[in-house]
Amino acid sequence: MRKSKLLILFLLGMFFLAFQVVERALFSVPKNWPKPAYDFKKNPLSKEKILLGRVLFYDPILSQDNSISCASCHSVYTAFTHVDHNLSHGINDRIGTRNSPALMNLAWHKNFMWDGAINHLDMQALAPISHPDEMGENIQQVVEKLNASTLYKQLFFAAYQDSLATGENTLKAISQFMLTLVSSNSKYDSVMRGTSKFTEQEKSGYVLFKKNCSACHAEPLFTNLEFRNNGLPIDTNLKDFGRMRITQNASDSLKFKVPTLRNLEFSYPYMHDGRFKKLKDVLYHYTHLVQTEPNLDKELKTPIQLDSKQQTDLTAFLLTLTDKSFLFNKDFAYPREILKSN
Amino acid sequence: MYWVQTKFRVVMLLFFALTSSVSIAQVTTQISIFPRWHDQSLQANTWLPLVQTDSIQITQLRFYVSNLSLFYKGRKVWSEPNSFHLLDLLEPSSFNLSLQLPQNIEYDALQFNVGIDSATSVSGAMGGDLDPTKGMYWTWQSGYINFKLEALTARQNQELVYHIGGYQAPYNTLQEIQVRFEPNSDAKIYLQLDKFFEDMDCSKINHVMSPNASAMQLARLLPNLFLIGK
Repeated sequence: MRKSKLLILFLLGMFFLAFQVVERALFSVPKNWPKPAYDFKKNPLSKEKILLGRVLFYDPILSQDNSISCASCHSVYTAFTHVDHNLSHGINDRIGTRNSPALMNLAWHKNFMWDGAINHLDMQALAPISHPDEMGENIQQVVEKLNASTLYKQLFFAAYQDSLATGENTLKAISQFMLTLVSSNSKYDSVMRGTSKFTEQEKSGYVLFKKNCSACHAEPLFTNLEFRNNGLPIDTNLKDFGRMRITQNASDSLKFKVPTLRNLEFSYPYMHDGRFKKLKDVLYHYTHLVQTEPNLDKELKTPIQLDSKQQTDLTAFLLTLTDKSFLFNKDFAYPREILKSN
Repeated sequence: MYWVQTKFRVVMLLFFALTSSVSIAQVTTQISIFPRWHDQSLQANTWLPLVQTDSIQITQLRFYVSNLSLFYKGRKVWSEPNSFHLLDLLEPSSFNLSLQLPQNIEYDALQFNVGIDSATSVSGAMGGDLDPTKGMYWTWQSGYINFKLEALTARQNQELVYHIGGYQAPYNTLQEIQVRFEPNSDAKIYLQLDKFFEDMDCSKINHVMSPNASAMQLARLLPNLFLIGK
């Protein structure tokens, strides 16, 4: 009698466990969010491919001298950017020309980089892998190194039922991991879902945000994914004209991709070249320093006016975009159990 | 009830018979492209006469042939599914394209693109000849190199690097090529590379490595290089 009760309990337990496993989807669109731009049908997610992508993301094998990984400039604890570095660092201590962007909610992006040079998430990793100031490697060489590694033979087999690494499979696995980096659990999100409430200060900040910022930093991604000239004076050393380099169209001069504001508490420094260390520097730029270039964004033609109380309120709202469950998600962390020797 | 099942079986049998007969009636047809320099076959890494005064060595010639289709009397009669071929002068067999054609198909023209179309260019990572490890994908700015030609000139001792690509207006460098031949004759297509240097001054344009006006100018030369062979 007791045995059969135990058996029933055991079976019930298994039943619920199985359900839980099924319920934890690998990717889901948060409520009221737009449809992702990424075509998942061409690269269906699996646990094994995401893991392979995560290992690749953290493995310096992608760089020429095995010293730099994606995570070197995109650290999980700082919303996948390089904290306290205005410009990205590469192999042999070389310095790039741009601030590494924070990585999150990439499934919704149609193009990548500050100037939109990359047209698909799958192709994004090729740029830092190949850039002489970043990983200084090339994808042919990376694939050769992966095919010489017992660890990767196992990981590729688990992911693709084929131990042979190819450029396609390598890049798609990295995409899979990046696609899972969804940040949608900030205080702002719980307020929108009705499970939490803004303070008076945050509420006032939200009103100011909608009036002054949301034309470009549109909810719920907090970017409209477009390229805009936000009136920054050009850095005469870097001479970076942004989007114009890609389109070769003068009207795109000094336009850069609007970055998301999610997790901005952790993703400093700010702007494409990381010129501003503090949020208050950013607000000072928008209220006092906007340059009136010919193709300055129309939203900025009339200067934004915020007194010091309003700036404090706006900042309080912006801090509600911090998503601790994203920043401290174990699924995104260094795969210690696999890359133990590194 | 029984006769319904039997009827269904007969229909299924007929269906299988039909589909299998269709799949049997395929023939492999070889279409070859012959890289040429004037009236000779083009050799890599050997000195060739250039204009009147100089010589040239072709060190690299790689390009994509895609979206192959056949025409008969102006109508499209066949198009190759998933049609992407990387041709490489250093791998001569890549210039022989094996096409799976339906039996008894009549055709008098072949059409293809040199390069990769814009829809494919924005579709993410792909395998086979489109795998980025093939060295035909730009890394700093997304897009395939449609036509890659590298060479050296003797007298001016100049390195020529032409990486012609770009899939977006105004620099969409994809080129459509059509060659006509005697109905159902063995298609023998010449790639007359010397013509590339006829209408272009390589001492002026010597490095093209991004989608721009020069890339466009060079891309427009490409259709003239493909001729029906004798």
